[in-house]
Amino acid sequence: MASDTPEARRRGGDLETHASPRLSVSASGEKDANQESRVGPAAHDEKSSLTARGGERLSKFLIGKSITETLFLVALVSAFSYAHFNPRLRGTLDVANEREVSGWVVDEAGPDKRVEVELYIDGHFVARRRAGEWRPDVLAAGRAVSANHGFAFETPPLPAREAEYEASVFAAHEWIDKQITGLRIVGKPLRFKVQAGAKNVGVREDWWEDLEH
Amino acid sequence: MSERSVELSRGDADDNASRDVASSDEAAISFERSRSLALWEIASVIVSALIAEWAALASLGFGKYLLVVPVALAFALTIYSHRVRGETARELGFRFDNFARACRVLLPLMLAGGVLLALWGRIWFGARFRIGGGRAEAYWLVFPLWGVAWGLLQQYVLQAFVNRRAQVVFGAGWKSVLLTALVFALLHLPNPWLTVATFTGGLVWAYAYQRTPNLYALALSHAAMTWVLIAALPASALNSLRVGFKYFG
Repeated sequence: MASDTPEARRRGGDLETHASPRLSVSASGEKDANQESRVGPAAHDEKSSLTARGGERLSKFLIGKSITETLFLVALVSAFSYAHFNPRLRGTLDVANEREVSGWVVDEAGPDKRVEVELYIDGHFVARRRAGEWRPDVLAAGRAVSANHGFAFETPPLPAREAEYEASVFAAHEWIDKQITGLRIVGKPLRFKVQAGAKNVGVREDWWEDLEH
Repeated sequence: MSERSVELSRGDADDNASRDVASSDEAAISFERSRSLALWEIASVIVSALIAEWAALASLGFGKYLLVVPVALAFALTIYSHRVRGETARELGFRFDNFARACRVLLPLMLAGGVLLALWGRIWFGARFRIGGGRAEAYWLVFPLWGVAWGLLQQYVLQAFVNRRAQVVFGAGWKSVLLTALVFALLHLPNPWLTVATFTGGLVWAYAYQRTPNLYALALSHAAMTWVLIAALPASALNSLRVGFKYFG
């Protein structure tokens, strides 16, 4: 019986300090009439203790479970990313200057769909529209089944400054049974400078406050 | 030495070697190793529950059915562990011989808990205890089946597995009771009031299990106290008892 092992003796020592009911086993192996419980360290000595082989098997099981759960999490994250971040959106931002910001975008999962795009300058929202401009080069390059996938925004009046502005265009796409709309960047952001001119006379430094949305 | 006696000696040596291997396989593992394994088992079940609550349930739509994977892995572990450790269903608490005694341990604690919950709802939230009506009434309808079954499932994992493994680590007493309650509370985050309630309930149930291991009595107590909680606290405080990622949705 495990009660002879150092482990059992140590646990047995712990046990004596607790007031919880104790299991006692008679010489014949039968429980005493008034005994209640087999839980507690004494019980574990006898019933929850592990043999060397059992410990090894349990360790292997735990390692296998950990690996399975890791793979499950990786698969879950990959599937979630693929389904909800729409990796089939294709497009580029071709032009960004003080007059216009333009490019094209196609959702290969729905090639006929006109993708909704949003323009941000220096992180400030400027405008939103459907990408339906005529872009025969996109059709010719075989990136779409029709030529109506371009977008062109008129650059809003911006104050002249030495530093560059950064234009970013994001394609809107729906997630999770159309419950959430997400934004995915189209191509790479482009930088441009704005010179002083008639268009930006009197434009405030916080120009985005004057935009009408 | 004759050829025959040499053969006999070899045979004896082989038998002894086999017995040594067998006895080393059957020998109990060291206390430290046993503690480490028990802690690992507890951590593993917690990880499965957290994956279910925070990752699988976060995948809305089809993804929520993936919940079955971590849940199945957790139950596979608990069942395999019981088998390897030689624990019987009776020892785990699936028994009726001590049911009445377990009820006697639990009833005063439940009554005290019920009064405290009613006072908590009244003083903190200004809510009135509603025996029928609202969600409490709806819960009352499912209490006999869903409430008890769900309670049995949770109490099985919490007591027959976490509590017993905590006792391997710390022995019976307040340390293992506290660890069990902390695990129970952790799995109810980030719902703040439910976390407080489950920590308190976890202490009571873990103590009661160590006194009298009966999972049926604990399941009844779990279902009854859930109903008391719903009746005592306003729905806004409990957020439909949601936990994990679903708490935000």
